[in-house]
Amino acid sequence: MLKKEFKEVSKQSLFFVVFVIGIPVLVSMLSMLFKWSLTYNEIFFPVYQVGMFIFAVVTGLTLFSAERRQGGMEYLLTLPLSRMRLLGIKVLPRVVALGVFSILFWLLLHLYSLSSGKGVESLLILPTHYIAYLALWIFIISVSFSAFHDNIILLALGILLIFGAYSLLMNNLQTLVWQVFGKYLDMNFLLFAVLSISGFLIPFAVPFVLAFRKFDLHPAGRFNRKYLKIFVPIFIICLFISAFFVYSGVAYGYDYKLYYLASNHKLIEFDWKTTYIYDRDTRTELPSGDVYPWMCFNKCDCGGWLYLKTRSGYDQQYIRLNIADNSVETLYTLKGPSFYRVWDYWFFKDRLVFFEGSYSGDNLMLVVVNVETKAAIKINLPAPLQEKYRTMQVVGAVEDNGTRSWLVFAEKASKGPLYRVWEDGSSRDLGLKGRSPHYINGILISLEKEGMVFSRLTAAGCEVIKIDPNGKAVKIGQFYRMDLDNARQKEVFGLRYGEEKVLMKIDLENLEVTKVKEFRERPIYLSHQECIVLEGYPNAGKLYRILGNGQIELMRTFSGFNAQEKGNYFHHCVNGIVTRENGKVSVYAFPKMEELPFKKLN
Amino acid sequence: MSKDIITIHGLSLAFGGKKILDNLDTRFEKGKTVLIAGNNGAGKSSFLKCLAGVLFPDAGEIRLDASVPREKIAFISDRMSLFENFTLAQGIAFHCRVFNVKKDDFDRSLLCKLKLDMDQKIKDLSIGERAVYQFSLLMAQKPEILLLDEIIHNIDPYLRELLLEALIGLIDELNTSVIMVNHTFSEMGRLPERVLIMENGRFVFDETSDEMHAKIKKIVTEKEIADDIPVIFENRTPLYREYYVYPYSEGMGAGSGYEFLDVDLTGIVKSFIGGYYAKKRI
Repeated sequence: MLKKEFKEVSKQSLFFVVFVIGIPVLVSMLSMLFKWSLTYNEIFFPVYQVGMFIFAVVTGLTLFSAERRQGGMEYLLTLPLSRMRLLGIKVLPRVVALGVFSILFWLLLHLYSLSSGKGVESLLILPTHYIAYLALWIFIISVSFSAFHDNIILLALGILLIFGAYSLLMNNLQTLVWQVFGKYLDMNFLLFAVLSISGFLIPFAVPFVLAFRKFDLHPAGRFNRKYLKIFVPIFIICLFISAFFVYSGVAYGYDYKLYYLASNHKLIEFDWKTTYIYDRDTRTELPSGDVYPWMCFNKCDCGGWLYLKTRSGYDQQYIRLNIADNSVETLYTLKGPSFYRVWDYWFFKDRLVFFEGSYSGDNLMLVVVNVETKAAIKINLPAPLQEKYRTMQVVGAVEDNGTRSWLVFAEKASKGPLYRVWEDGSSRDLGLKGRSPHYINGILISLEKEGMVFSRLTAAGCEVIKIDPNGKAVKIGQFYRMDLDNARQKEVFGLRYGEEKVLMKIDLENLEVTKVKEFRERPIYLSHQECIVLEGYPNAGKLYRILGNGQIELMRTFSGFNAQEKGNYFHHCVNGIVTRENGKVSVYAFPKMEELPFKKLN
Repeated sequence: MSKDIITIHGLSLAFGGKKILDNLDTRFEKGKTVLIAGNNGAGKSSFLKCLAGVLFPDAGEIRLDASVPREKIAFISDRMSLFENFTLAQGIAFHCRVFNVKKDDFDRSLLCKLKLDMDQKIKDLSIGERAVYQFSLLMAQKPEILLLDEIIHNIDPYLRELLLEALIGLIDELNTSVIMVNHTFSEMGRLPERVLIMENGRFVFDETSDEMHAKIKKIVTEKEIADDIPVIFENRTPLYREYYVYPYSEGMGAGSGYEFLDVDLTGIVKSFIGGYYAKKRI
């Protein structure tokens, strides 16, 4: 019987394979004809995931259609198999097929990412585990509908309706909780684990299994009545359980607030809707739109200003906040929804730089804004940097005889072309040797198989000065990339790939890479100007600072504090540490870690 | 007396609001052949499907002898349901696998008589060939209970005889209990040892073959008969009238001059069905 079912599923799988190969071929041909500039893989992966959902619906709904079609239902029900065994035999090959297709999807995507370096997100697809989960979810509902009616189209529409209702509920509940309670929740967990399982899967699966125990040749109406008789109370119970979990989540949730300690020891508080600035005794509300506070974690305040990105409707703005008098200046406005998806921005002395382009990533330009005059220069980028699916980064700023140029890296799996782009629009390929480039204190650092490559910029491009094998696979802390004004750096720190508990120092005077210390656990934070290591995260353990001479200083020990517990918070920035434990926010300033009092904070 | 192999108590079944089986109580003995007859829609097939486990009753209980495993219950429905897309060979292999029958133990003698191509699909068989094919499958199960739902009425006389011979062989060899629903009785001869007649989901007649012939009699006359004679069906023709009497007892109509004639199985069933339609007309 199992063999027969596997054969049946193989046939359906064949249709699936033809679908996921054939449709992209067809669209590719149309793409060539109409010059849509879509590659086969750009079509293949989205079609694959849609195909998975269709496969789940079809394979679930057609649980008994082969027997019905062949007039074999009576024969099937006289086989010496209990109804539960029969159901198991029917469901197993289908679940196996879904599993195989999920694994295959993951494998293909993985191979594709490896070979092309294209980001997964850029292909408009969901993560594999998410697809597998949704496909299984759809499959269970489809199976539970399989005995309802013979009309597959009608049933498929029903499933579509349920899926739509679920998505609507999921989206609105998240907003509702946020609006009503004003609290942040781990909604993904709640919605997918609780709502989808208790609110949706159990009410569909349990009545089906219970009703199926007496599945027979009665007209479908009788089965449906039995099913609904069980479905309705279970659905109501599960809805109550879900509501209870959501309510518990709300009670357990915490205000969505993030903090940044400025260099003048003012504390900036972001709670998505509003931004507050705390002084010792006062609290001032920042008159800005929605602020994306996470940018602040990567960047420090520079020259008395804190640079932020805000949103108002579709418009986005780069603003800067004067941390002395709390005034705000708008530097640049990105109008409408058609902006490039690069969220990052960099600054160098009095210049703010970022990328702008159409939503699809075409016509990419480097925008350089003079923060004093607000004048913006838009520089067209050369074709190799315009290629799709590259993560654009500015890795360095070069001042040379009064002219300024920018080092633009178009990353694809840590590799890619590095161009020097002048503000007059000229550019030059630097012929980068290696990957993951950093430009610090006039030295271009990249990684090669042989070791860390140190290069110097020349008129023609760049020339390798030295390769240190000790620097092989050493990942420099990401925050070195953010502030491009780094001429003062004499040394930077990094972690070795693979064994990321080993802290390595890169001496920029002698161009040498040496091991500093092996920590017990993986250090999490590497700050911008100084290397800060938190050992024992998330049980916020020991906080170290790497001094300029390579010495390590223990700054503070946080005992019994779990930063990952809900509501707790541990955040570092270049000026200090902000923690929140059981709702109480504490602020510690570097370098002595003295606690700063803010009257209106708690 | 043989032991009971199936005991039924309070069996009821309805489709929608319509009662199909109405609180049935009966039992079936091991090794006996039982014929169930009745008008169309009386509930015969549904009753058999309940016994086969294809339908679950709404109320009541079907208790099978604990010594009978599920593999030993064989059922052929009136639709002769099989997986039609299988070839004959695939169907045999599948059936043997599911019912734990060694492939070598499968008796092909019946099929050989029809010279069937094993690679043809089941759906390409004629009704008669299909009946023989399905019967061969069931024989491989060596069934202890055999449930047959009107499989012989629309097959040709040669195949009908072939099937009946095989059925008799099976009963002789395995002492199989047979419960069959049928509308054609002429070839049945003395095969049924008990006859049940259903009407509106109830058994209105339940007699052994011997008692049955003794309890149903026919009077053929030109006149009306006395009211105290229990008539279940009256057949009027321009020349004579037939009165089917049930239950008949010795001494009934003494002195009236009626001749109580024997009735064959077809006549018995016909009288009950005719009576049912006559009641319906009234």
